[in-house]
Amino acid sequence: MLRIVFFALCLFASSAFAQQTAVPHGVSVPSWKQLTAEQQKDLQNFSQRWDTMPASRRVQILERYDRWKSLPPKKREALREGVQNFQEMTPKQRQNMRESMRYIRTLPPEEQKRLRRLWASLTPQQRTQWLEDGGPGIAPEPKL
Amino acid sequence: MNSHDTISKKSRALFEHSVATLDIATANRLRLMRRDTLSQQAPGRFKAFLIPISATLAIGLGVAIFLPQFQASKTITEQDTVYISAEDDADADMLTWLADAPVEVSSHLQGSL
Repeated sequence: MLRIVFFALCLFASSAFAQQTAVPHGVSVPSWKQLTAEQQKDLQNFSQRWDTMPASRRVQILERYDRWKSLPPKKREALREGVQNFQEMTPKQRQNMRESMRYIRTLPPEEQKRLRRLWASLTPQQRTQWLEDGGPGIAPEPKL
Repeated sequence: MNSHDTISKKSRALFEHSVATLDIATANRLRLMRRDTLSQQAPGRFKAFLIPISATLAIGLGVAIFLPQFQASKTITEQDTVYISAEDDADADMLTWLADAPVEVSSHLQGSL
């Protein structure tokens, strides 16, 4: 029974994110007033436009907010540094990184993991060079 | 007054004397025993207080050091909002990749998301 519920939820989540379709009948996405006080405090940047945002976008934000909340403090700090790192990149590096990530998401999960491990094993300079060449999944892999 | 009364009076006098005063040896023994008892109790009492005081200080110190960090990590920042609001899941993935393994950036070349 639990498996059926789980798969139904996965199906709903994937359709909501992938196709950006309307929320299925019987499912309600919270309005701003229906959010908890803590959610309203943390998501206050969205307060003005929350109720006018598509339901799928609200679900996406809430899902990522829950993921953020589940991160341990060290992971949150690392994620902030990751955002900072991205903001300090050149426009070309940012564009290459985005295109690279979009391409990687089309690859099989095992290949995605392999590329991520390879990325992590490089030095920051090697990663920069790989990104300059096109990025993981697009440019040839650097030789270790 | 017969001889029995005399003996009785002497016995009572001896008894009264024995309970009213202590001989020097007994007094010294008692003094030493008291000193021993006090010297054993004093550190024990100190130890009994030392453990809870140390524990309280350690907890207080831990709270003072880690609470601000914990609260800071709980408070949502601009960078957290960037991650939460990323419209594309690929963008969110990208930020987690960079969180684990950043690239080298030139400080003079800075942009925004």
